[in-house]
Amino acid sequence: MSWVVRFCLFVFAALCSANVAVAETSADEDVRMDFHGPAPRPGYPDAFQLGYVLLKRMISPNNQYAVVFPSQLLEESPDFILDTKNSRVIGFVPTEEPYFQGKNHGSLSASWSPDSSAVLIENGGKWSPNDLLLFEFRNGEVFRQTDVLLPLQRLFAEARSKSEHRRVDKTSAANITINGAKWTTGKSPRLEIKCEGDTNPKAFEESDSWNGDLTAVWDVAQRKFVQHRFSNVTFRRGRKEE
Amino acid sequence: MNRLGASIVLGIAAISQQADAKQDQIHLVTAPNNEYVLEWTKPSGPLRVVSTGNKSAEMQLDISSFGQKFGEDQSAAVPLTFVSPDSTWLFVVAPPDSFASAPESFNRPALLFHRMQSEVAALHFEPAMAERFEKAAWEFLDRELNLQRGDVPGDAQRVYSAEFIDWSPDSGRLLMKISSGVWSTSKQEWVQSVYHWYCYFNLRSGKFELTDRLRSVDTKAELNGVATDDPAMTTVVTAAEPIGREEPQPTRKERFEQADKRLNDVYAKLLNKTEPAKREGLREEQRAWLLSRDTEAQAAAVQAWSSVPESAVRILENKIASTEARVVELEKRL
Repeated sequence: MSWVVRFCLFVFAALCSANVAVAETSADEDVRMDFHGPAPRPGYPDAFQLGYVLLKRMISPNNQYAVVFPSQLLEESPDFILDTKNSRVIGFVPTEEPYFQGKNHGSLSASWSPDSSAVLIENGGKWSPNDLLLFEFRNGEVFRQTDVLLPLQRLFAEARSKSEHRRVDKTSAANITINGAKWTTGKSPRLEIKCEGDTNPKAFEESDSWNGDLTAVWDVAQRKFVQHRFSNVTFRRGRKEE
Repeated sequence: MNRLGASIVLGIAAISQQADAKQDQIHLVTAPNNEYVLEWTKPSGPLRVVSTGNKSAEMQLDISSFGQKFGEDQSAAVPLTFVSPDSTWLFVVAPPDSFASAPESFNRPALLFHRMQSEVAALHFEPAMAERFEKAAWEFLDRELNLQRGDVPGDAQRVYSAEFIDWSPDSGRLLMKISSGVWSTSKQEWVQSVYHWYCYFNLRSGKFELTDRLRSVDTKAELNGVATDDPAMTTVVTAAEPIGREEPQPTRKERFEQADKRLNDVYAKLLNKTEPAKREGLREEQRAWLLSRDTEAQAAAVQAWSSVPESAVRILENKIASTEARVVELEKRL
């Protein structure tokens, strides 16, 4: 076979493979994939195909599940979890403020367990996540969803109470920034969340400021944090106005 | 040999170009009778009706009245196209553009096309009216409901928006939500707030119309921002009434509460009847069903292209249907 033919076959194969699941760079700096939703009503466009975005980084390691979010066309609609192989919607993120493509001060990330049996979804907000939800899968379905943000806030509330020597609201103890989530597998999968809390992100001098880094380990089976450690904790009283 | 090489490279270039062109073609919708599809070429058109049987039979729909709604910087923007159940009407709405500045962010033109018999072309659609469809709908509502919102300050402009809600199952009516507001260019603010009204276009008479259901909803204060609290969801219309089968607004909240109570009762009876060792299995099954019911209700509302507040009502309607079906299923197991 001449080099010309070999070269052409190579280029042809490359072109074909590129068309399988194309392939445009989205504003989210990730690869956008084509997909379909459940059967639309007769005569209606497929809202999932036209109005939702599936990014490669949101797909589970076994390629069975994915988290999708709406584009501007459907910006008030929820973020969903799909069974991509069967074009089925198997879960949604229950929130007041779903993420949509290009949302100001918004983000959506998915941290999948290596065996694809669970995913932590962070629906990011301006100062703190709007939601931090753990979804567990069994037999191709979502069988349980757990709010992880509230237990995380409770840990910050306890830490702040110690520093400030007063009771702190357990539902909104700090503005939280999630810096990483790492899965470990074993009898029960565990998720190590690294984050930092801050009560005065704009550093107003007259306001009290509490800061701290937290590493907390969530046990999926026990549905709670089983270990946690704070570091770099600082607390400064605000300079009261005279 | 060189000539052969050059031909093959040119051939591959042509295939590649075709592949690119194909990627730019978006399938928007298939007609319910499967006779034709609507396709859009990214990023700015044209919008084409293409026969499924005879690929050469096609026509372009003129949506130039939509203005600058599409382009390279709006890659997600596509015209939203809805085909009537009998496949003879097309409703095309401009996409929302919330990132645009007011008043353009609010402006959502719409066009209604009707399929015509033609000896020349297999597929032939014509606009149902010459003037702007959503503007004509608002003018009808203004007259019919005596809105008295005709006065617009000199430097201000009235903008209109149409939203697709539903076709009636007999293809007799198109249900839309029409909104309008007045924007002052000098003040850079809305001088007349944006309000919403439901409206039908009767596809048989070719005229806008209101039934008792729409009239009762359109005249409620809650709909137009006087009060926003509507817990019973009485001011939201999600289904078009077929001609000759007009009915008052359905009561959804009460129906859901009844279905939910019946479900709790039958589930409690079934749990009581189940051997203790199998009860946890039933509890797990019920939890999974609840998750699945709520997810399917959300997905169905999205597939109906519902926005707020219709989405909340459609979710509730879907939950009613699933809950009533679950009651029947559990009753059979008693």
